[in-house]
Amino acid sequence: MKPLLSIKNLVKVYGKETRALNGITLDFFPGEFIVIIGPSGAGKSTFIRSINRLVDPTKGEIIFDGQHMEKLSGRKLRKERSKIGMIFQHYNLVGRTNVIKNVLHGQLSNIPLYKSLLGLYHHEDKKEAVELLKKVGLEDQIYKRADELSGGQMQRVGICRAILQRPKLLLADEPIASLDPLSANIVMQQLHTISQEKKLTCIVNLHQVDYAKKYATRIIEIKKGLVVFDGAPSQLTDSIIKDIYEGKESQMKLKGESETHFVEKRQPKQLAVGQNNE
Amino acid sequence: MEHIRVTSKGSVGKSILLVLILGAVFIAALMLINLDIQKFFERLHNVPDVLSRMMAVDFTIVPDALLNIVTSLALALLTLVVAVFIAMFLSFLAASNIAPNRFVSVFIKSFFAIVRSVPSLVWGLMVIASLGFGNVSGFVTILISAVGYITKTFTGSIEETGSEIIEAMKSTGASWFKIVYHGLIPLCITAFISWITVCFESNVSESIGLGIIGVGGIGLLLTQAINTYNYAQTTTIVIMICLLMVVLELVMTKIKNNIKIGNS
Amino acid sequence: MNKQLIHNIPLNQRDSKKIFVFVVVFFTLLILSLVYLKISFIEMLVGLPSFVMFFFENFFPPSVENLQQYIPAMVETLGYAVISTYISTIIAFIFGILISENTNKIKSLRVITRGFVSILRNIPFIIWGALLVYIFGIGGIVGVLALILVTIGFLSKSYAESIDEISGDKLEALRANGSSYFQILFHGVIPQFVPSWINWTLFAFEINVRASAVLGIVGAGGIGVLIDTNINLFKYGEAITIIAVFVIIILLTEFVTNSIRKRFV
Repeated sequence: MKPLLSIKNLVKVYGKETRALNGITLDFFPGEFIVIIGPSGAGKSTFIRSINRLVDPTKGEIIFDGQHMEKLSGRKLRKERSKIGMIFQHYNLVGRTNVIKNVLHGQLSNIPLYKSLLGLYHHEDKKEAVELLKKVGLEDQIYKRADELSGGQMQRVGICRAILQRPKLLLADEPIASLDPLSANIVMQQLHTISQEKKLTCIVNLHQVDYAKKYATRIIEIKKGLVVFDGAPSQLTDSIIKDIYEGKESQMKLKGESETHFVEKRQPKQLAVGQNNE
Repeated sequence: MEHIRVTSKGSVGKSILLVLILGAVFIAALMLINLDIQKFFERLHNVPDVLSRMMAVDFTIVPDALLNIVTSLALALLTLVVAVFIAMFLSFLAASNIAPNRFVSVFIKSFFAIVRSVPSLVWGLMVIASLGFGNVSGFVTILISAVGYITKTFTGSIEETGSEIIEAMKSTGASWFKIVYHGLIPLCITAFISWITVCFESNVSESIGLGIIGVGGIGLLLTQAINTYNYAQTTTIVIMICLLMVVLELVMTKIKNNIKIGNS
Repeated sequence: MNKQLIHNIPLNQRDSKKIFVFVVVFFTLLILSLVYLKISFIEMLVGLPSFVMFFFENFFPPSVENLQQYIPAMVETLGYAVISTYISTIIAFIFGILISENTNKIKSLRVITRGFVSILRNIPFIIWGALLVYIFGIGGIVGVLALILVTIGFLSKSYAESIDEISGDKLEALRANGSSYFQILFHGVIPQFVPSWINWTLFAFEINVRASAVLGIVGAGGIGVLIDTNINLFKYGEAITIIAVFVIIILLTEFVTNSIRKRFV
């Protein structure tokens, strides 16, 4: 089978010395639900952000859907990005805008500016937005401001927004790291269900090994910017996990429920609009 | 096809109403004032001539201007110090969480609300009518607005941050003066210094502005240059004022940042 | 243990020498200022009290006979403030976007705009008035122009700071799904910016009302010219009436802006 996304020898160096990614080569196939685990600072976040070029890689190739992502810029980059949905640890909703508009932001790349300003989204997009919100149990919150929601609710809006892009690939960067155990469970479940339904390829960064084992079709472990494990969940034994988290035992979370407020070390401040030659 | 709205019911109507009101206010303002646009455009042909004559600098004025800048700065500094002393005292009487007397607090606050609402140039006109032209008038004028400004901002800072420490110190039986001296001043000093830097900047700016009505300093020099139609000097002085204010802003920002870092 | 150490437990870690030097330099500067300005210490002390005495002796009682004549000038003053606030908020918004690193990635453009705005902001407002009257001649439109320039200077910087404070994180989602620059601007930046926009603009309006009252002194229209002439003609009673009406207007303006703030921010 032809891979949907293939990464070749990906390197990212921050500043002069800090090597976040040390040459990663991976292929991702359609329909996979991949969970990437590893200690914080291992480069998971940099890796997932390199795929849609929120982070510009220093070296290497990213071939998504036949396009070399690392060579794109401007309109072409935006077009490819619109085929990749993304879910963030901090949800990244526009707080003062209502829920349905936040979901419809997923379709911004497909309509001209004036239409989006007047709220003239396609009817089927609006219909799907409402359906998605119903599916995640937010039908009563449609016109609420996003900053009035709880963390779990916000993340579910984030999922709807990513799905509304009708993406080929779904990226999720620590989607449940800022949530309480109960919301985390719901969000993970819904993410899994929806991506199965839509037959999406999913790449999820997680800390929680038990969630990884529960949902993933394939688990990849990154440590010090290198892939140290790549295989089926059943192959991931406790001794391998211990090995990976060596020296960082405090972060080893076999039980996801015990982890609530772990926040991964943040990347250098992300610049916002117009970065990466957009 | 069922219509799905993107905004909640009524919010579109509200936005339209808001835009209409804002538009109406603007049009009403335009109608109410007499802008004599025609006269403005008639005179516009003079402008290139004036501007081209202003494209010159006169370095002979520079030493004189520098001396006058010192005057403006000295005036600003002097008033600042006196104002801080007066306002510090007043603000502890005015801050609602430490004020010994509620009536005094309300009185000080409303008195300075009125003082502040009179622009400093208007105070300047009145002071000059009373004390004549000269530096003393400048001093008194800037003092009035500086005391008004500092009293307000200091009071605000004390009310914002002071309540807990006041409670804690009251419970130890400390006297009013001790609470202020050992509790509030150390606590609020960062905020105070930050307000003082802002006030110094506005003092300098005011002391320059007061030149228009005859108070000494670089503003007066500029007014004289304008009144004698000395184009090159006018340009030179304006550039120097601008440089002065930019440098001042940089220095004050640096002081503010230093305090913030030193405090954290 | 050393006896002296026990007796001298410093309560402050700070270098007391530093503070001493600071105090000395400070007071030297102060005395130098007094000398340089040729203000005697006594003059300094009696300056304010003698003004207050003069104020109450001469400016009172207010004479209210001509109150109605002042109304048009008063309205005009408010009108200047409204128009200049409207125009400058739009221009300053564009400048704010150009200055903020969040919305403008072109460094040279940022620096140029910042420099331009800094010139507008740093020349005192009344000096702008005098300069523009010098260039364009007297008239109300010149006053509006002066207000606009200074307000653009003030608002651009404030807007830019507020836009900077919107975290790039929030906009990352829109970047990631392929939205264009302007879509990120309109759907991501502006909604988050609205509260500070309202806040700063109302603040600018308050400043403008106050400022437009003194424009008359340099011949740029409004109520200021009435205050100036009345004082020059020793009609102090008239002057204080105008000032009192003006104070009431300012206080009303503040009341109105504060209630708008409470509703929308």
